[in-house]
Amino acid sequence: MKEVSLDAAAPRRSGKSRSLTPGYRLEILSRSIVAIVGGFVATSAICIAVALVLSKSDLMPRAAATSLTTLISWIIWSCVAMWAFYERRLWRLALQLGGVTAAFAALSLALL
Amino acid sequence: MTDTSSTPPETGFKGGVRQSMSWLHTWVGLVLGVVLYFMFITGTAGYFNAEITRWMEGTPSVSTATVSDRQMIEMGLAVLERELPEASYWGLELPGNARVTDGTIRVMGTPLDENAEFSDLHIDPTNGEIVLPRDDLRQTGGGDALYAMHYALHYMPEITAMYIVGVATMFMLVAIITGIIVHKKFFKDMFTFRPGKGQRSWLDAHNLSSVLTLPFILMITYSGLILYTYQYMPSVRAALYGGPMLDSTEPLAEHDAANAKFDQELAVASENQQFYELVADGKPATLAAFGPVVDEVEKAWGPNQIGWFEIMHPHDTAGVITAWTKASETFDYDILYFDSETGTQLVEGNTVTPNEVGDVLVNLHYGMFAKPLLRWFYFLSGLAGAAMIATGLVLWTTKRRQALRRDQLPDFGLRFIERLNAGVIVGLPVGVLAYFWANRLIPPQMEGRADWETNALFITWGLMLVHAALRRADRVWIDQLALAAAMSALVPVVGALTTDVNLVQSLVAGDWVLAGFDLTMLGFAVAFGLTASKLWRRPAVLRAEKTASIKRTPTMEPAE
Repeated sequence: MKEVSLDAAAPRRSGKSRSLTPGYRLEILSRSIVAIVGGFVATSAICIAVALVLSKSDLMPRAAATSLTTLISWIIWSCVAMWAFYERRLWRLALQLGGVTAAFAALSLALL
Repeated sequence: MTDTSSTPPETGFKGGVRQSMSWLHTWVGLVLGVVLYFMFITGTAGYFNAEITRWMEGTPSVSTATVSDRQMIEMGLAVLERELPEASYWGLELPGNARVTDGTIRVMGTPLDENAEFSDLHIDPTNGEIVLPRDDLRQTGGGDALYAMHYALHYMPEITAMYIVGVATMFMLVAIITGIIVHKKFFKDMFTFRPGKGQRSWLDAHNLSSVLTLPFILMITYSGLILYTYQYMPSVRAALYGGPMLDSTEPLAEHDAANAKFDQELAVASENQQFYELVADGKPATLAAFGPVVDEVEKAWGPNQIGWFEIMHPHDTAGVITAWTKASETFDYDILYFDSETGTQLVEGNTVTPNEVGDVLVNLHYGMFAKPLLRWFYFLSGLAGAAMIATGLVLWTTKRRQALRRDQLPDFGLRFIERLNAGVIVGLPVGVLAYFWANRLIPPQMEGRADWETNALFITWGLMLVHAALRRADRVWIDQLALAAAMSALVPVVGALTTDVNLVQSLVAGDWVLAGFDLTMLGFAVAFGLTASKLWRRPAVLRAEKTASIKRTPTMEPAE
């Protein structure tokens, strides 16, 4: 990977940024909503599925599985938030995140 | 989506992984920097909340006498036996624990009769007598009101604040992770500081304050989320135990049925149910003599280490006596449990559950176990966290200033953030100082004076923001820093003029809580003053920064 310094992008984009169009702002807003709301839904689906797998397979008591997944949910949520600002195309982001959420939700429903 | 950029293959939203994460780091810092700075400043004050409250009440200690734990417990239990014989809970808080008191023993209780009320009593440890409610205490929000702002903000419903704080904290975690990703020279940065070099110095200062305090900042952010984890992330518990997935109506209701079932199962999982299922079984029992219990405690901890002494169901066979240390060397209080009827020690289960890991994190966040030296480290780490946010905000503006071309004027966004930075980074501390001033200057009898202390904080802060918006750009920081220095230097003076306590008297009496507050203010005065005079004495540099586009070519970071 090309080495890029922390500041590489800034000096080139001097003065008023050309990219601050309404469309750009809408995209940032959409990505924020995906990070927060989508992040919550996806993280919930993943954590519920993992908690159900852990408790149904008797790996740990139900209470321990619940607290473990709730405690680590923040790492998952943060990663989803970063992903929301990494994936280049918004529609692909929505599709991927929706797919992951649906898969884990299906697994949870099967286990409930 | 159109992409006008001509840079080579971009894999992500803003280029490669590192560029995208660098952009996210900067964007989060810029959008949430002010909220996070506010949370760090007010939260850091919270490590001395009890000390601040004592100072704001403005009275000398009832007693600084040292009386043994055993005598104090005897006095406290005698008062409870007399004043509240029918109780489901008795508690004694002995002076010298983290919750600094005015030297009295605090006596608490819950009556068996749910309709009856029992308010706290305080006992003078020198004679065992109840201290009458003191009318010389100033009604004040104290350190607690200041500290509550870091999670409840102010002037808004608690639930709104909770969600704002939650989102801010989650993105703080994102900022930490992205900050680590964009960073690769961790150890080098720890020893790198190039002062007096404009943007590069601010980058160094930002890196230095982040890398040095990273363990603290990561811990305080993650544990902050854990504190409210079942409110912010209620879905797993809801799925497995029932209850609303989005617990927004009653976010702080902790005793709903699902929660109770969950708590009970947690206790079973950790083999500690005997300490959780503390339901009276209705069979009367005589309370064990406290002497042998104290003997056992002192055998484990040494003499006079008890901070709290509590009894659940003092006259029931299900009762439990609990002793807590004043402070501890570990990340939690040491706690010993005894059967309230026989006085024999109850042993805790040693199965560690994930929830207990969460409890340790929460204890780390509160830092209540910390002895004074460690508490100071907490305080300094919190300030360093605030400095990290502040330097990051300044770095953003410095970088854009230096990137301006010769013929370019800064756009509104840059000028706005520059002035906002000054009004927040120095303006907020000035507001906090106004909070202390208001405490001393508002007449002690005035109605609602505690509210006005807080109003004074926000009004002053607002004035600082207005000042930052209107004042000549190169004077904003100097003015506000000088004001902060003067206000902190005069806190002990204002205090001495308006109350019966003063620094000299506190020092002579050995009242380190009151003296410590005044001395800390003097320390802040020196820090603010030095910074102000440094800026004042270097007008050339300031001018240079103002016209950076003429004197300097935009500098890239040195190649790595």
